[in-house]
Amino acid sequence: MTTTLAAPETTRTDNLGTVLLRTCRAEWARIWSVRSSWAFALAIGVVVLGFATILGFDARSGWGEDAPEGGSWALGQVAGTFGMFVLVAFALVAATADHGTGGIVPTLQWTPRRGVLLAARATVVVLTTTGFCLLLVLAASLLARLIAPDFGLAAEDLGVLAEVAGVYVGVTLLSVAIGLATRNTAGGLMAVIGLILVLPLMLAILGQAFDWARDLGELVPGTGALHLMFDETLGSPAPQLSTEYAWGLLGVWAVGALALGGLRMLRADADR
Amino acid sequence: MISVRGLTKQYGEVRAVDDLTFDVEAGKVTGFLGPNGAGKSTTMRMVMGLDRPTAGEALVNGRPYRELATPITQVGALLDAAAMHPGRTGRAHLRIGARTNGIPLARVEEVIDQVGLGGAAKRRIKGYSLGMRQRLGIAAALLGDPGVLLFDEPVNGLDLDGVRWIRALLRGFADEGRTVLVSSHLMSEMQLIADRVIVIGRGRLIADTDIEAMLRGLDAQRVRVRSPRADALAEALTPRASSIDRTGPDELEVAGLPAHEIGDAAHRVGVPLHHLAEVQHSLEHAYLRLTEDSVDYHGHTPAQEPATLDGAAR
Repeated sequence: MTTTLAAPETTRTDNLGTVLLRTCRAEWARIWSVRSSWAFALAIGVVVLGFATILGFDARSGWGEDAPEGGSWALGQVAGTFGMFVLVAFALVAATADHGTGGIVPTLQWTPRRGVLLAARATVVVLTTTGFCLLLVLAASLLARLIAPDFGLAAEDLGVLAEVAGVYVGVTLLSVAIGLATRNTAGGLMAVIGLILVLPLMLAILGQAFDWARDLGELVPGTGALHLMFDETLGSPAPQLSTEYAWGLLGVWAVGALALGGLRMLRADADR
Repeated sequence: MISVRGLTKQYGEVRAVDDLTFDVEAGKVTGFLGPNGAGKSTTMRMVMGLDRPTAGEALVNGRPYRELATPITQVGALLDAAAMHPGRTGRAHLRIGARTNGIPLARVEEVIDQVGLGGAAKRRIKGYSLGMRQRLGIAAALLGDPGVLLFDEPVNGLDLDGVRWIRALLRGFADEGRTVLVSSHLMSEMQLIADRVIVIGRGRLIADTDIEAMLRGLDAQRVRVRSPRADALAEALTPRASSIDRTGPDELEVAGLPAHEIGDAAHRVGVPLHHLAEVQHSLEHAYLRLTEDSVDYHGHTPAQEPATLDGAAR
């Protein structure tokens, strides 16, 4: 044990950027240092590549006029959408783990500037999951191309990946935000899966009989996400929506939820 | 140095901390005492920026903890040994703390050795005993080699060797000029290591003093004396003693007279003495006296009833 006392705070010149960068590195370490993250990564991989394989064989048997314009990219996009449902669970667990385990106590001792922690947590979870899933979608597209050679992999259709990335950013941010707002994994998971998957599909089915359900469905973030991901392949739950509206819907929900979750992180006691 | 000024925390109808003001000085071990629910942990959490005060402020080296850019080089704290992600290894837990504050990872290995975690550092925390978690929490507090240290019940779960180690560690930190605030419900432990004590009850300050002054503040010095002629001795002492209590068939406890005067008086009246000693006050005694009106949660001993076997009752 050294007997040297720490330098007075006033002599440290760490600026906000440095502190944010360090906190991002710590957040990254928080993700990879627990087994559950690797289990989620494995699960997402199995789901995305598994669906790519199924879709590839299905496409090989002949989709005829139903073949999407994007070719194998579109197949990868559909496979990636199924992976998205595991992805939101992972993002939510990453956001709530500290509160569920009590780890928020050392976390806030090490990063007492809560705005910095909020920015780092949202950034690292979103970038990590989006980057990983994009690689999987790329791999899924290549796999589908191998299985169904008739489906092209044209460079001009690469824009599909940008669309996938945008949707991933939106739903991951929404999941992180809901996790920060609820501080509860089970409750948050129910809310996210409900908003992204259950409500859009349920309201789409009800919307065939009731106008109010169709109108309500147009306000749910998952409707926007599924519209963007499925519109040209499996079909949108709300085909009447424009692409711009779908992006706006997802964006408003993500930003709004982040404001709510961020407010709780900034203002509330650490673990109450 | 830690400065607490008018610190108040309200949870709905409950005022957990009520206008608390005190300073924790450098170079001393300051004990933080109070009954269950007195507000000790809440106060420490507010000092560490975990909970937002309803009123008042807590400053560390003149600044709120939340404003510190590299906080663990200023303040180290063990607040709750169970508050860690159980799926992470001890070493990974400490490395995250080091990364967050720009501390070289070599320092992680130093504190692991210092707290005696050794090979356990590579195991996941869910496999740790309470004592090992305490050691890991202490290692985290020491990561930044800070000048201010807060420990909430640091000896919980430690074995005797661990208790002696933490005792020496805290004493050593204070001797190095660091500020040490430690809460504990083990009064004998606090009497051994604390230079000063801050006592709170129901969120309010009851005492802020050094140990000696706290002990002196109790009753006048009492002397325990044993003699086969206790009645005769009591008669001889009565004019000058402030009180004489019979505590046994041949034992008295005398207040208001020093031991040597009691010995002289016994000699004058020819009473033999078998025992003569000043009664040592304990911190526990002083603490109980100070907090007797501030205890929210009392336990009750079940009433002793005659043991009756079913068969006998019938």
